[in-house]
Amino acid sequence: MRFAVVALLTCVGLAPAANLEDANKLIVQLKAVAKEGAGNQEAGAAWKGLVAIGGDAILPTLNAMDDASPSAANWLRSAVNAVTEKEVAAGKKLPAEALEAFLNDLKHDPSARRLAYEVLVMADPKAPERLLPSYLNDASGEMRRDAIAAALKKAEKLAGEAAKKEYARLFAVVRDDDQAKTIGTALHKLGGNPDVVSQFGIVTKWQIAGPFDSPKGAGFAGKALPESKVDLKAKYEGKEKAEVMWKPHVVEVDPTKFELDQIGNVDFNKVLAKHKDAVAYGYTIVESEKELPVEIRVGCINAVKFFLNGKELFAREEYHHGSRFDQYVAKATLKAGKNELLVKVCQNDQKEPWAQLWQFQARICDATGGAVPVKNVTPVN
Amino acid sequence: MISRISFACSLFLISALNAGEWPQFRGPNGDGVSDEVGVPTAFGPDENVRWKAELPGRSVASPVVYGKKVFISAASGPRMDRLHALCLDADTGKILWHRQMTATGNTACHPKSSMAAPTPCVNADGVYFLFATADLAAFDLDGNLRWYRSLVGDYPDVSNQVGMASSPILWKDFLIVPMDTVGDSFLAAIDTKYGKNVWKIERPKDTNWITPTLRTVGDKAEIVFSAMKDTHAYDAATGKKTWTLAVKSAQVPMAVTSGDRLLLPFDGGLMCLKPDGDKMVEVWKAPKMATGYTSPLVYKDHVYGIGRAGTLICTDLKTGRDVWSERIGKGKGQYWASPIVADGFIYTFDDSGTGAVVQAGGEKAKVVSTIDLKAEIMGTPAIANKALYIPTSNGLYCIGGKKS
Repeated sequence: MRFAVVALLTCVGLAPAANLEDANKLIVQLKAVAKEGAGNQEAGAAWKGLVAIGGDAILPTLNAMDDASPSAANWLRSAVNAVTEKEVAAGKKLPAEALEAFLNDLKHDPSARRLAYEVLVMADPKAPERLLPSYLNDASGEMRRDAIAAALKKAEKLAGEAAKKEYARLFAVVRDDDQAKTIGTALHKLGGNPDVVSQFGIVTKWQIAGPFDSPKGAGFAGKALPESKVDLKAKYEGKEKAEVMWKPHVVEVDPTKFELDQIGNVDFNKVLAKHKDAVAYGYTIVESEKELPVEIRVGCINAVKFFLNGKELFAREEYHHGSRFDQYVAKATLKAGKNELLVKVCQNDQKEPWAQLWQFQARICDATGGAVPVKNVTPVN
Repeated sequence: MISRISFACSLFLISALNAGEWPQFRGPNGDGVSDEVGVPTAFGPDENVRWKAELPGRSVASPVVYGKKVFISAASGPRMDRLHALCLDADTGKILWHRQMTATGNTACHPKSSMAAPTPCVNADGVYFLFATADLAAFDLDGNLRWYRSLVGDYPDVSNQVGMASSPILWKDFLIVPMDTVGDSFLAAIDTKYGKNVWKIERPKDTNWITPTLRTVGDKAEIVFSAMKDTHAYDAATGKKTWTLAVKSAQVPMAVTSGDRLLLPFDGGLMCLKPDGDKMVEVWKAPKMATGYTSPLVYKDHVYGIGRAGTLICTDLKTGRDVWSERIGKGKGQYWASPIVADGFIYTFDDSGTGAVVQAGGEKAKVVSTIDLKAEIMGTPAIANKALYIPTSNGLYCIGGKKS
């Protein structure tokens, strides 16, 4: 990787080899930072040294973001900020050509490419007009967002079939909830059929089991029977010794609504009736033709755990502090064939009117938030 | 028992050392009091404005000032995950440096808040930015990154669903970092040089928007920090708990000190405490001093508090007796910014940008001027350089007639 950077910089005649070597040595110190401040002392000195190199340090630093930890990435990002600021103040030219090459190389980390773009725009204020149209489906959420925003401005001036076609094109690549609402609403008015569930991979076909007892929140740590092994034909002893069985539930979706956090929510208060100090489960099957890296994203206002193929992916014991689209994100890998997703949602005993919701929303998507080629099937009892 | 004289000496020293600066949330002593004189008492969007600067994102934090540098944070992006640390020239508003980070923690919050809710703090060695996402960065005053910590990276169960807003404070070489959450929950002293933990103690797992208070006890210092169900004090040097008081907290306003007195907001108003051996005992309670989101102001012989709707109450410091109250809110907005005072004038602002300057003390309230900056004001302003630095949710006003 270092050779690639050297080659790139040598091509555009920017960085003396000594500077590159120095920069890379210093970057190693920045990337070595670890938990609880380990490595901070060395990194602080290295950061200053890296910034002192000046413009020659920009590309190596961006390149280093590719495999940096989130903490190290912030050391590197702020170094690029400082170098850029210094170069601009000194009236020096920023390496626009190399930055654009870095941006266009999709192998680089999306956030590093975005940072390269921001520096590039300082050097070339006309770059957005020239470049954004080609970034509508970019891996960087920020590049994609800006590209869609620019395209939307043009789409607003279109009418009829041309507008419908353009909004459909934008809906196919949109990821952010505010833009999805704008584009989805416009497309629907134009007679289009924007399908939020398919576009965002929202899971709507479930089997539901509950309520199980959760006195004083004990159910969060405990395991009700469905959690140990899902058996859709089983009968369980639920809250107040009532019999609990799995029952299918398909979430209805209003095709005219585009508020993403409102779509596909499993509302246990409606499906099971209102219960306090209770646990309920949602279970579904996702079929994939091949092994597939995905993100499982869940929104839930209650304490929640979710499991893929029996393995716990995420747990958060927090009640009634709001929910939102993509509130919790866990990386996972689907296996080829059937995959089991189990979501456990705990309700507490708070009495306030704002503490009565008992629901969750889940979706399966790629790292950009777009749907993946899987099939959500209703598990059969 | 510590004598009042030694308390007074300690507090005088703190004030003297920080004269002219506004280094942390609510000023040098965390009580909203400035020793500046000549700060304008009448101003508006086009009157007595020394400069106005735009911020690159939303901020509900307060600015802090060290010499001729003003520091403030902001957060931007649809998920508010781009974190900004800024330094501006105190005289011109020019951005001297601007560093950015990507949030490593959760970015959920109430729409009124921001990931830039905690106020930074500053001393001669550096400026320390804590964000609601539990990202913590230390820069020198020229913008060189000295150290950085992702506290969520360090302690993955740190939560932020409600927009954490407690601000760090400085004591000697320690940065006192409050991190009360429903997940990992702690108070830590982090060394300002390299950003490593000096001590770290567990706290109740609950939400909390309160900023800790530094209380000097002779040659020692303690950190007073309320939790939802009670208030604790900790030795600043070791983190060892020194006393506990079982009263439910007011959740947002911070305690302030005055001599050996501690003015503690609780869920029934304001309580005045004094030391009695190794514990704190009640002197008086003022039920009307329930100040909502804002912290009390102690100035000379009075305590002032302003509630969400804008009734400013003046209470006698010795007795807790009501002296006067005045509805200064115009019904346009709520009060999130805490009142501050300089040279006998109290400054208040609501979130519609409406403000009032009120003469401190007296038997009756005297409103000197009313202001309408026509901008959302959530953060508490700073006072330094004969100027007010008033944060709006996307900018910063410097109000000052002439350059200092």
